[in-house]
Amino acid sequence: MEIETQHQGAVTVVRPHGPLNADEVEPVREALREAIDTSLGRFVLDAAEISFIDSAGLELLLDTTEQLELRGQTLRLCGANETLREVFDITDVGQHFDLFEDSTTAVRSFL
Amino acid sequence: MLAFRLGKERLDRFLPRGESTVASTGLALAILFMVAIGGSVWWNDRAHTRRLETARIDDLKSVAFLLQHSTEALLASDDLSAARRVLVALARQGGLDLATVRLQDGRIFAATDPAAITAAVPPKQWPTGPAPAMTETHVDDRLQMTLPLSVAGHGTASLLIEASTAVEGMPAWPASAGTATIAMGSLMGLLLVYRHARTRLRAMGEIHEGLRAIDHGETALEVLRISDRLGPEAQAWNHLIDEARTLREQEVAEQAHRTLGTELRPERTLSAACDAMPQGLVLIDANMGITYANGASAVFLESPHEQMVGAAASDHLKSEEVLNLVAGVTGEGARRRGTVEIDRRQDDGTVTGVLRFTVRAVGSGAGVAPLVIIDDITQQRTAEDARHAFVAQAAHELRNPLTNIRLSAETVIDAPGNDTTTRSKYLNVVNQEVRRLERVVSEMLSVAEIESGVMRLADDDLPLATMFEELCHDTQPQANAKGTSVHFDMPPKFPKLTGDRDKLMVALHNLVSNALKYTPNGKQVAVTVNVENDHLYVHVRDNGIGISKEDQQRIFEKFYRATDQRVGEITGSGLGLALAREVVHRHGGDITVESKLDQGSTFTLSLPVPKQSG
Repeated sequence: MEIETQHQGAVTVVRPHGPLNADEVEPVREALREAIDTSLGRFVLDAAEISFIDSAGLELLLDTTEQLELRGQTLRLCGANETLREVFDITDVGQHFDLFEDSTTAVRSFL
Repeated sequence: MLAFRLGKERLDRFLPRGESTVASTGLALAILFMVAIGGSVWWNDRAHTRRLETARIDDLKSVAFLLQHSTEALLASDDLSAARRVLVALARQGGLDLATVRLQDGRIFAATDPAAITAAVPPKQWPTGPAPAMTETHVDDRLQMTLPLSVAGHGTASLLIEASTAVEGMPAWPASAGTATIAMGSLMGLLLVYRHARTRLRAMGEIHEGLRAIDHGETALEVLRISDRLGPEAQAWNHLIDEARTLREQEVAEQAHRTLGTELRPERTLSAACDAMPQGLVLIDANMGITYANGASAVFLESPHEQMVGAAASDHLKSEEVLNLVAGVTGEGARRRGTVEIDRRQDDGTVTGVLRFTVRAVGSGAGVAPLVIIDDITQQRTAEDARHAFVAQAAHELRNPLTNIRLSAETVIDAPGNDTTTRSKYLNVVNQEVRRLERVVSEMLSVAEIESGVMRLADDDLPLATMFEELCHDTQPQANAKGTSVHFDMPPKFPKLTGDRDKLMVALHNLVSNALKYTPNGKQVAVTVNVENDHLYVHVRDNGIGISKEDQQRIFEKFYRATDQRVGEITGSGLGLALAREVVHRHGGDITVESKLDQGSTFTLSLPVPKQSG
């Protein structure tokens, strides 16, 4: 799975391409861990190219959220498509992270 | 049962859901009804025939007995001819086929058929024999009876009679017509009842099928809903289905919550509240020991959280300035607060972040304790730096044209009235510089728009030929200054496009200007425009310093400037490409780059061309 990493100012934007399922979760976990470490948690997960998410993917998001919450930060997600938003709604995990329309607004939230 | 099921399957193909169950039941009922009617008609007919037959037999027997007695009487009075006449008459009247009077020796002296008489004159004394008994035999539809005759003065004889017992049943067609009429009438009635009850029956039929589907494992409950119009049973059924669905969804949500959500329920303590803050908090006592540190502080100070409480402040607050501030709060002549901003550096010296440490005194007197609040201001600092750089760059870019305009204007004013050459030369310069100013202002406005998240694009016809002419003209001064030539290769005809002219001009100008900026003096820049695959392509090629693979990924980021040292020496805001790409994206196109370090770069701007008619 291709994972694009970009910087907008001092914020790292991580953008995985493909479905976030059990097979693809590990490289994303690595990328997120690195982003968090180098940017002191100033990062955004751009979900615009994530087609689908299963329970393994949800677990990754919740693990990341938990990690960030220990230090008063939140997981910022942007560009989630309708499928993802429905999954978040149904499983009620959407309340645990911040959802933004696009990466620019997500990055702006750090100011 | 098999026939029933087969019939139902055939019906299923023609009737709406639920109706087939009802229809097949209805059909079965109708058939049963017809069978019942047919059966009772047949039974009635048979019973009636039987009654008639019995009556007939009784009649015949009465006639036989009458004949017996009258014959006995007449023979006793020796009136043979009267006896014969009476025999014939009664036989005919009574419907007997045959009646004979027979002597014991077999001779017949009276019969309905005169030819059968074998003893025209019976003897005075009749022959004796065994006493005839009365017999009665029924064969097929015929009755045969033998009755004894005892005639005083003569002896015994026997009377034999034979008759048909067949009877005509009810006449055929009135009965059939009557039955048919009654049957039709009842069927009509049944049909009317069926039609009336149809909707309700259909509801029951559909509910029946829904139950069968559930039994077969149907899990998509919403499929089993039936039309509310079918009646109260249908509505009740739908209500049940909806309830079942809601319960099921709740169950799923609860399960998900349980599996995924348990870990995230925070304890409600002050400690947890502090851990939920994005700022780092470190509370220190008078002996410079840490009494409390929250989660964020551990991250910012890069220390393991569990080791912080109880340790010396200097073990974790590594910066001298911060420690001095902390000491300053507790010591003599204490300040109540202070702030310092510290750069967070990697091992190689690159700055990865900026942290602001605010130290405040909490409490007073002997119980004074320093509180350190840590804020991550990296993003704010970056944004500020970028903005400063941009404004400086913009001011620089505005100053030159303004200076040129002023000088040109002064020259025109000072020139003698008839020196039209000088006047037109410097007025052209003014025109050019004003266009340059317009570009810079447009770029600044675009940056503001991007930053605030709103970019307004005009949608007018684009005079592409004119635009490229302007581009060529406007880039000449910069090219000339560097001794570099810009070569334009245009197609014979431009397609019709719409968009925001100003913003696209800025984008194009950026690409060419960059090519010139990052190319050493004396070389060449080529701008090639072609139309292919429903797209307009603008290739800006240079043989300048080139861009490394890593930088190629990042050059379109806002405020990013390539790490190449040579780039650092050239002024730039780091916004040109970001802006250009944003604008082009909004027009439905893209900007891509191909480059080799030290060899040069080709930037390709593409815009979609709408399908032209004709």
